[in-house]
This record gives sequence, C-alpha cells and structure tokens, in this order.
Amino acid sequence: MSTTVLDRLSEILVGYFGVEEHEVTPDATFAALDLDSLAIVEFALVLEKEFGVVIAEDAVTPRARVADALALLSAKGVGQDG
Amino acid sequence: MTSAVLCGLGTWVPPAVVPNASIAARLGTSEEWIHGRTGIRQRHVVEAGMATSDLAVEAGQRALKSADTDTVDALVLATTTPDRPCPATAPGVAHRLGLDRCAAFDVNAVCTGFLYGLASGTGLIASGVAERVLVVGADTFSTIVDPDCRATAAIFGDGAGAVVLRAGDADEPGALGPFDLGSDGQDADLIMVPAGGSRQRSTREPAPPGAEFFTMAGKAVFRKAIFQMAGSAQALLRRAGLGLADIDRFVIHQANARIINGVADMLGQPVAKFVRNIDQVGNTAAASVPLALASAAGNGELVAGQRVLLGAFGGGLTWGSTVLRWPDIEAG
Repeated sequence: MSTTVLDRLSEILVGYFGVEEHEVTPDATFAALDLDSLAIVEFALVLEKEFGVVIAEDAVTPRARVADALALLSAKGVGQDG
Repeated sequence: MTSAVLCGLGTWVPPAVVPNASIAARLGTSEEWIHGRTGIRQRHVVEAGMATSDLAVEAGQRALKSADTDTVDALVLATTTPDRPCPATAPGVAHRLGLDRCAAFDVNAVCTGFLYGLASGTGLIASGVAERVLVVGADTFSTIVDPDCRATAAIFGDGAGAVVLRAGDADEPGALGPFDLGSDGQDADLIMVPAGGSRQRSTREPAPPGAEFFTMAGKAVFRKAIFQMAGSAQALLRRAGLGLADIDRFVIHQANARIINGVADMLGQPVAKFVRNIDQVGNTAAASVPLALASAAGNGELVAGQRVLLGAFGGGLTWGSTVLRWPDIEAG
C-alpha cells in the first residue's frame, strides 16, 4: 500500500472535509471522520478527479475504512507506478 | 433591462480588538493553534450596549459618502443578529441615516446575507421600484456565540459593510450580475441558534441552558462551504458566459482561511487570486464580503477594471455568487 496515496487521501480529507490530520489512519471509518453518504459521494468525485479513476457510487460507504478506499484505488492501479 | 451598478462602499468595525492571546487560555488552546486552524489573528467586538444597527449606521454613512449621495429609495440590511427580534433593524438604521420614508427591511441568510441583499437590491432596481439602494451587511456574532466554545468563539467577529447600488447599464463598471443563489433547508440544523424562535417559545417552557447560543457542525459545514462556494462560482460563470481565467479576483466569504484555500483548490485557481482579510477581522458573517472588498481596494489588491467574483455560503443552508467589474470608487 503506497504511503504517497495515503498522504494524498489525508490531504483531501483535511483540505476539503475539515478532518484533523491525526484522525486519518488506515483503520478510521468514514463515519468516524464525520463523512456521511453525501460527503462520500463528494469524496469519490474528488478521488476521481485527483487520480483519474472512476469509482462506483456504492463502492465506498460510511462504514468503510480509509484502508478500504486505499485498496480500492490500488485495485484500479493508483500508486503502483509511483 | 436596467442594471444595478455598485457606486459606493463603506465599512466599519467596532474599535475593541480581541487578539488570539486574549481568548486562547479560556478556550483551552494557543494563539498559534487558532491561527493555524482558521487563519485568524484577531477580531473586533462590540462594547457593552452597542448593537448591530450602530455598526450598520457607521458603514452606511461611509457608503453614502463614497457614492456622493444622501438619498436612496430603499435600504436592505442583511443580518442574523438584529437589535431586537421585532421589528426589523433596517428602518431604524434608515432613520438614523436621514433616509426617512425609504423602504427598509432585513434579510436573513446568515453568512450569505450580503449576497442575498445585493440580489434583493438589484431586483428592486431592475423592477423600477428603486433608483438607488443602500445594501448593508452587519453582524455582531460576539453577542450570540458561546464564549467558551472553541469552534465558534475563536472564529467570529463583529463588523459592518455597505454598498450603494444605482440604476445603470449592464456594460458599466460596477454593474452587478448575473447572480447564482440557492438554499438547502434539509441541512438547516448544521448552523443555528436553537432557542428564541417560535419552535422553542411555543413550548411555554424556559429554554435549556445554553440553547440561546449559536452552534455550528464544524466538519460538515467546512466541507459544504467549500463544495457549495466552488459549485456556485461555476454555476455563475456558466450563466455569465465567462471562464475562471476571466476572473481577476475572488472575494468570497471569510469563513476560515482553510475554506478559502479549499475553494481555490477545487476551482483549480491560484490562492493569490483570493482576497483575504480574515486574519484581521475573523468571520464577520454578513459583513464579511464588503469588509474583504474594502480591505482589497485599500491595499491595491483590487483595482478599477478588474473582474471580481463575489461568493458566500452560510446557514440555511444558503449560498450565492455574483460578478462585476470593479468600479473607480473611493471606499470609505
């Protein structure tokens, strides 16, 4: 799992979603970060723009963890060449 | 169609300054934490007995002088902190400004109030109801925040800003529009004062302790402020037939320096195009956009002829944007 992608996810959560940097850990769920389902749709849109991948509407849920989002991105080839 | 042309700008903040150092200990934090999290170094607050109208009158006088006029047909006052629940604060402000008999009413769109006020004033002019309108944004959030709440007490400050709009042509410098305005009442609870309105008072029970204070759901508001201000700016530009590159300056609600950065990022625009005075005044709600305009006009960041996009987001939820070419005026 690429640290770089986790760093970028952290920047997105801190910069756009008001999350504190220390809250972003692989085990944190999006619900625990105060991201509801609408926030996750917006989060997915930012990820699509940032990483150039398409993320299905129900691929990430409030119960999902940051690590799940990283795995999803990794499965789409994000972070594997850099 | 007749356009509304911005032809005067005036602002005022109460003299008392509260630097971060004065509140950090009470809030269990540090000066640098407040600055790092919000971009704010100090805010101005009203002294005992001072009301929102007092700030509005000072800003209004300066705007009228800046526009070189002493009459208007209507006064629109955007505020969330009226002098009293009833009546509206605007008629009293009009009276004290010598604008007797002019139409006067309050608009409450919380931090979007100034944009809603500008749109209301523009509508009064476009419909022929008024030739000249004074639009004031004035708020004293220091009177409604919980002084022990870090999430609000560190952020808000008091202030007022006002502009004069006159009837003119769409191609003149200062002509406002188009507008993008919106609301989403599904999230009304995210930014609110729980007690004091009919919902609570109809219970005939005293309000629970602390329910008179302003509350804000930090993270959700942070995110929605960024997404809605960026979305509204894009909707406005589409309507105006303009691109982001056509905008020289963005003057958006000074909610939090990190929110301003987020909007710039989301729009893919350099943060240097975004005016900011939040370090000096904090979040002044309805006064925020005109105070930022005056600050930028005063330090040369905003000069005549530049195309400037105004944007805001606030409780309601509400949001709004408009665009103008900055006119050759002397702000008061």
